[in-house]
Amino acid sequence: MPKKYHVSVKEAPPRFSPISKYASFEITRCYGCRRCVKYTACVYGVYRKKSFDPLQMQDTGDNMCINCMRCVQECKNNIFSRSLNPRWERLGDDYWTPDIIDRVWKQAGTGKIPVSGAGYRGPFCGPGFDRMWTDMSEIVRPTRDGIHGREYISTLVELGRKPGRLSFDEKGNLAQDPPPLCAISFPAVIDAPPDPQSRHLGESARRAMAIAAGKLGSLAVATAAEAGGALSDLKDRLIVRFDPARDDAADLAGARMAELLYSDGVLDEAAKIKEAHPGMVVSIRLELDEKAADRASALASGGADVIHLHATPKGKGFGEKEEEFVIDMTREIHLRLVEDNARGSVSLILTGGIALAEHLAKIIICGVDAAAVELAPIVALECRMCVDCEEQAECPVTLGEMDENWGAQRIVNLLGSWHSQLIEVMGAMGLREVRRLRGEVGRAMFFKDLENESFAPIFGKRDHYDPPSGNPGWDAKTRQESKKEPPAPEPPAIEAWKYKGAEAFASFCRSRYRNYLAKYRVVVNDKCTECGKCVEACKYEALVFEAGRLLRPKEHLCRGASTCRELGSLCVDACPESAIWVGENPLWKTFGDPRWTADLISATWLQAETGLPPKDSGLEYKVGQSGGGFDRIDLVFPEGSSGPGFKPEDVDLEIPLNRRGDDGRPEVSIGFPVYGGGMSFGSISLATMVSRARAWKAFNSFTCTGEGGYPDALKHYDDNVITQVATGLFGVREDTIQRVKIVEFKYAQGAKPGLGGHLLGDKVTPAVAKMREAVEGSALFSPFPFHSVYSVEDHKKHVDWIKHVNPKALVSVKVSTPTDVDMVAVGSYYAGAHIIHIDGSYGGTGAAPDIAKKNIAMPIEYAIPKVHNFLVEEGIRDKMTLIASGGIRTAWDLAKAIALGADGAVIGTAEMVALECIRCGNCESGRGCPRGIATTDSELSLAYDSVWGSQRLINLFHSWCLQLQEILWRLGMKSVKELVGRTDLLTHLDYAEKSA
Amino acid sequence: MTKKGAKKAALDFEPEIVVMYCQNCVKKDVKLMDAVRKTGGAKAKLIVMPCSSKIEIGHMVRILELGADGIEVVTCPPEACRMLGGATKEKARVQYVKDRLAEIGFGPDRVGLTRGSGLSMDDLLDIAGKRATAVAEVGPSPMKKKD
Repeated sequence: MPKKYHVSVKEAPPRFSPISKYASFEITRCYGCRRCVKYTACVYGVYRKKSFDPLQMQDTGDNMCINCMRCVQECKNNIFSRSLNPRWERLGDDYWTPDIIDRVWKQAGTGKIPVSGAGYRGPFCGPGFDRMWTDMSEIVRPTRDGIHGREYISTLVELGRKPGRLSFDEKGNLAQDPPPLCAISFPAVIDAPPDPQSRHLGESARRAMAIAAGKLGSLAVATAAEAGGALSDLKDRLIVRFDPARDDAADLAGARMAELLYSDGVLDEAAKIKEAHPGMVVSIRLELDEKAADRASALASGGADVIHLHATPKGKGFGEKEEEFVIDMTREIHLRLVEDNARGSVSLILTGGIALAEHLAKIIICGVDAAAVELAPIVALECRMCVDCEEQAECPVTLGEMDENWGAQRIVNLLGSWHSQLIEVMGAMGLREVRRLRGEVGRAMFFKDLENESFAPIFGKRDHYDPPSGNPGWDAKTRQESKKEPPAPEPPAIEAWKYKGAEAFASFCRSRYRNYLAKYRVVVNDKCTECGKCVEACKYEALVFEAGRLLRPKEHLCRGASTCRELGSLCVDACPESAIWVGENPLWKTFGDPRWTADLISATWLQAETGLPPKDSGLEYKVGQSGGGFDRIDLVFPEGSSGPGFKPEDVDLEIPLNRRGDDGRPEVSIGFPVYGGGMSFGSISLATMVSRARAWKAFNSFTCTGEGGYPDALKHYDDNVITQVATGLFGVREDTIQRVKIVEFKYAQGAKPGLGGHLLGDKVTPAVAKMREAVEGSALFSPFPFHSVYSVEDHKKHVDWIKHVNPKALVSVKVSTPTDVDMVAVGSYYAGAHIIHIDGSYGGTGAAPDIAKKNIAMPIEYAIPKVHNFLVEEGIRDKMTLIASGGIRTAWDLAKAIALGADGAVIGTAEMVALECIRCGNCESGRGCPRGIATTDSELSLAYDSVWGSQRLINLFHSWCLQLQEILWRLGMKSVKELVGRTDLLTHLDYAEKSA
Repeated sequence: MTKKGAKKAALDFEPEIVVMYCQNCVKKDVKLMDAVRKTGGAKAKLIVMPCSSKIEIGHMVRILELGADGIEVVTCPPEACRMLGGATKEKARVQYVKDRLAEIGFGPDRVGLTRGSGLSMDDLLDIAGKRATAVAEVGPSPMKKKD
């Protein structure tokens, strides 16, 4: 076994205040109430600690703020607002986005893996590396131990020419000289900086890169002049870029590798260098253009040691390949060398577009041995990638002057963090050597392949496979214009019925916060004479006259000027004094994300407040703006005018969970086809747990304890609780298993497939520690996978164990969505499970590494038809309950998931949003959720009680039931069970044939 | 230094002007984050802001203390302010700082406010140049610390 590799990361704080993503404002005058939210609402004391950096023109409070919006929502005079910071938006370019730069800065400062709460926030898929997902294995040897260092996952690669075969003499000794190899402990080389960023770099920055390469056990590329000059004492970690016509061959002495630019006679030049410097490995740098594959093939067969493929910093090729991305070009060359039977002989390095840790893993999967990073180390040194770099009179972050050891530590931190993340990805896949990752495209999923496999049989032919530009969601207007929603029978007014399946009904439950967040701003200035004409014009009660005075505008009810102008009744036009302004509120862009847009969050809040669908709110409450999956799928309603001969309220939403019928276990049904996802005590507060239990009980459904134990406060709800047995076995006891109707095995979680669980030490309070039988303040890890399950047979033993302990319980198996999720589902059936619960990769979490949220396992939209169809083919579909989760945000998502093949769904994030989560993502650290939902902090967890919480949830579920009943009624169905697998009722906006 | 010498030094110095402009008062193609440019014997630092109302009174004082000799705040016309009131509020703040600078004899012209829309990079540099001219007459900021 090679020497254990360890990267020593330590804090290296930035020299300049980082640019914050958001900026806060005081937009109106404070009236001095003396109970200022700056000090009462700000959980993290930002207003106390903040200052202004006059050199960077940066309000340091904006960097500390976690965007929980409590100050905005609680101020009595509503003086605060927030906006996206244009300086942040202007960082980098369309590839090196502000978000990527920000993440690089943070990793370079701390060396820690980026971890956050809440689920994935980005688009469904994107350009470049975002078209690709890596795989995971549900049942593997426990590589999680490797992640924590108890076992070893090797990231070592050897660069150089490898012989096709070995020969031995009669005595069994090697009969040939082994070729020189250059071993690097981590598959990333630091490349020479590109223009124009190199312009501002000084000698200290270049030395920092070489020092960092040495500390990492890797290599840095330098020119011969640098090797002979400023970096002469650091040659033992250099790849020296050598120009035979210009450079002095003596500068190569002592270097680990030499690098030549590709030319016709490059192999001869390489041979000369090897002759002059025996033992030196020579790399040949090759531009990725239309001739690259032929040239690489010729170089490999001609005896080249290393081929260093080179793309642009955005990962694009050159010449005719300038529109192609590195993953395609790399795969082409890798496969070409495989066909030539030369891939094992030569090493491949790739430069271009490697900006994040997941890019490193993905490009190795596409076929290279190692990647080279050129811009990432510069960004780690605080480069802001100014668009006008060449015109700047001086670098705003003085890249020319720095302490080389500080710079080296920043780069070590960045690549150390990448190393840990690479191990996370490999651990999820069950790989113990990065060399085995090379070319393993079978352990990856590509957007085009997934669309063709899962969606093409349903939707027909896709228009294009280009990633969506921006986030083309589907707002109400586009939906209307698309005319893909044919006229359908109009149901009765939704307020006219209540859902019969619930024991408790919706009733108004106001927000905990004083100020609603508004999409539009309405300002009445001093010219107002209070004539009341604006109030007459306003159709939405945003402007109200009371006691002879115009009240402060209720901005959250405003629909914006364009809507009212279309109605011909706009307050601005009605005002004779031009005293009213109506405009878009910049605040609206500071919360939400493509998956959970500000509209969707606000619409969920509204449903939780009223219990009714927010049909007339002007908010898009059906879909997000992720540009794929559920956000591009819609239901097709039959045309007609009279509707079916029954009422929407008569539609049956109940579904059975036990369909096996072969083990004498009780029938268990749920009142509507949803139950609550696992959330442990520790990740959420006790009030939140009890609120959930009360609400699910009201709908005759279930909440799930997660794996943090079974609090006594849930005993009253035993019949509506699923207790979870997860890999950490925290709080699992026989009596907890015996109390419930359903026990859930959690093999993996969609947000962090293959990574187990992680409760950060801050949240392990005395109560949590007692419940989990652990030590207060110590981070708690759930391993991956079950250490007692290495096969399906072992899995069956687990199921049998639960069935033996509780003869009346149903067993659910929760798994993630790897490529073989269909096989896992069938295996679970034969192991004796009643429910297969598949959790897609865009699901929620209390804490997960960011690399896992987007990149590992497939989105649920692909997994549902895959599993459904395989269960049908195996003839066991009617014996198994298929539950989907991981991205079910709305009643419409629920209906689409069922039509794709699920029986029902599990939700989690939607519940949190109903409790007024704003998805700030700060669930995992410090005191936890500033809004008191995902926290065990003694003060914050008292932010609300279970009466308020359960009513909010009941309202949300009630609204969903009404929407689902309406959908089914419009489809002419009397039961939700009729919708299962009805993919003929679905259409996809990006598929031409079906939608046409 | 004699009075004459001080005046000469004041005329010789290269003013550092910070121009903080609202993102909505420039053309869409002005995508600069932070720009440092030489313009007419002055160094101009252009900083884009989400709204001019982000600039508080204390910020301006701190900038004069540590960062620059003069400040120009560029705002939208009041009727075009996306924050619906930010430009108006900022005008009052700038006036407050000017008044206080006048009171202590540091020269109210160190700080100014310009309204504009659809401005180009050159327009911003012109605005910086004008402020530099005004600042050159009153000399380096006495508040400015050397390091």
